Amino acid sequence: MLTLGIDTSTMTGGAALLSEHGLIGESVLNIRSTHSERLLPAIHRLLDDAEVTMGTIQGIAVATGPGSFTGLRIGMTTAKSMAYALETAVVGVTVLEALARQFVTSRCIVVPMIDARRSEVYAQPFYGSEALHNPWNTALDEVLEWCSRQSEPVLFCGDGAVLHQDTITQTVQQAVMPPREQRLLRSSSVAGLGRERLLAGLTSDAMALVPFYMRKSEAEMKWDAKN
Amino acid sequence: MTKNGLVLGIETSCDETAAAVVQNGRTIRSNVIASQVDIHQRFGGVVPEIASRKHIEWIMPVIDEALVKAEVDLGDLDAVAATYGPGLVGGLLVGLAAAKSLAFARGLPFVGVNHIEGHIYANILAHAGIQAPLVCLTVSGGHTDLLYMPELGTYDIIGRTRDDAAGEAFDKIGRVLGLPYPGGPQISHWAEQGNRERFLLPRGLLDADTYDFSFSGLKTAALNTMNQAKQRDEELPLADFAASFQWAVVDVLTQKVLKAALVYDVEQILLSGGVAANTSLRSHLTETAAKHGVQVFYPPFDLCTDNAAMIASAGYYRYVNGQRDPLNLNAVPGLRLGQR
Ligand SMILES: [Zn+2]
Repeated sequence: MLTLGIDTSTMTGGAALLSEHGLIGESVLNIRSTHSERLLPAIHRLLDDAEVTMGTIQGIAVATGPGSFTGLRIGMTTAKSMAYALETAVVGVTVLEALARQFVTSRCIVVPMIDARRSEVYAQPFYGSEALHNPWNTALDEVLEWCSRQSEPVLFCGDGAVLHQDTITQTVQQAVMPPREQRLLRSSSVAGLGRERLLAGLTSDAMALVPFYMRKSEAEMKWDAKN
Repeated sequence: MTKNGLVLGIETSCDETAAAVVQNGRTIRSNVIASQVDIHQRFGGVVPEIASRKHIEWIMPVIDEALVKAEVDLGDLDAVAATYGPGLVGGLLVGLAAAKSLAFARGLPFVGVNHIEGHIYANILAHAGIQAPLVCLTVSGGHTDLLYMPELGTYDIIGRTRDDAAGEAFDKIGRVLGLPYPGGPQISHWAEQGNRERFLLPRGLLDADTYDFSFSGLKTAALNTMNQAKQRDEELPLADFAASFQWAVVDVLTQKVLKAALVYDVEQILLSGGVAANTSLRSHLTETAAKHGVQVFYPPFDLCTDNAAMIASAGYYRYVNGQRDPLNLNAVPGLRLGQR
């Protein structure tokens, strides 16, 4: 099953192409320009370089979040529209699951961490492919406190593990830090996890698929606080 | 040159998720609009993040319904068009990503449309007899532009406001008068019973050799008139004042547009934008132009609000004129007419 993976959840993002033989190609950029400007050109180049036509894609996997709300909507609208246009299957995977997959054989507790601004993070602990907890949207301190209590080594990844590197290593004694560039999400992980799900018959509804925001809009939070 | 003349239009610039299929730029095959008005009501205005979340929820069902109602398959389309500005960036990005992705996945041309230009094409959809060359006046709270359209799908800006937009002046005066927002329809309502000759207010740039407009002088003069009345402890005759103010705007718009129509030798004038709904402007311009054998068109009420049919129509004429936009086209929240 030829699978296209798409990620636009953070400043890092791009697309990857996987077949039954493994990775065909991948485009990942970690730059300031918007996903609106770079996602489709990246997919276009990737397909051209791989000499693959859009019509032969059999599945689309997309990172649903958490991450930048605007970024997520660009990637997800692209995935939904392509799935609709090609009448092909689409599946969503969370950014946290896809990041954990990159360190699935590490024999560490893996904690993917995405910057949520206001000194908060989105995070979730995994061991192997098993989630140890539901995703958190909370203060960095609270996540690190949980991590400190674990007896196993804890591996950190995601853009939060780049941004908060010093705090993490100072707070969590058994912290394991992969090289900086290895901490970021790869579209190929999104494609890989998505492909497994599609092969297992787990598809999402292209009509209804929405981002995994993990947070209400500012206006709703204020409204809830007042009412 | 065209396959079936079918264009899918997508519009997500504010709080309406809309998709439509239009044939040959003129025939509406479907026009689907999902409005979020109820959702934003409790917040007292459109909340951009909530609007964006609704757009991504509704975009695919709305597009699907537009295609199904039109009995059109994606493969039948000549092109896909979407609004890329002006508007709320989060919403624009959803519609734009959908249009570019559908087009790319099916190998169709993609065309980006300016929302303000889109409103002009509501006229083309409503009136079968419209033929270029034309002069078009597009006026709202955000802009006042006078265009010459040698053919549909292209235009030159021959005049624009040098300061305030006409609608902005209406809203400002309405606010100072204590009238509910938006001020335009309120002033228009009060003006019905008033004497428009009661207050003599300035017509900016009327005698100057330019098609540009200026409404800041009018705004200042109107505010001074109100202040003077207040200082003298006199009650301002609201109906007469509203009528005089409206007349100053309508008079200058009419004279400039008509001059352009005669100089550019066109037989038709189009009106578009929020201020085009002003009945006084409509009737005065129509009557004055008729004396010179020039016809005036304005869109019917149901096509004045945001919709995707007008985007599909504008997209069709741009497509026919050879416009193709690249996959990296970004949303431009502050997009103006004449800007690419
Ligand atoms: Zn509009």
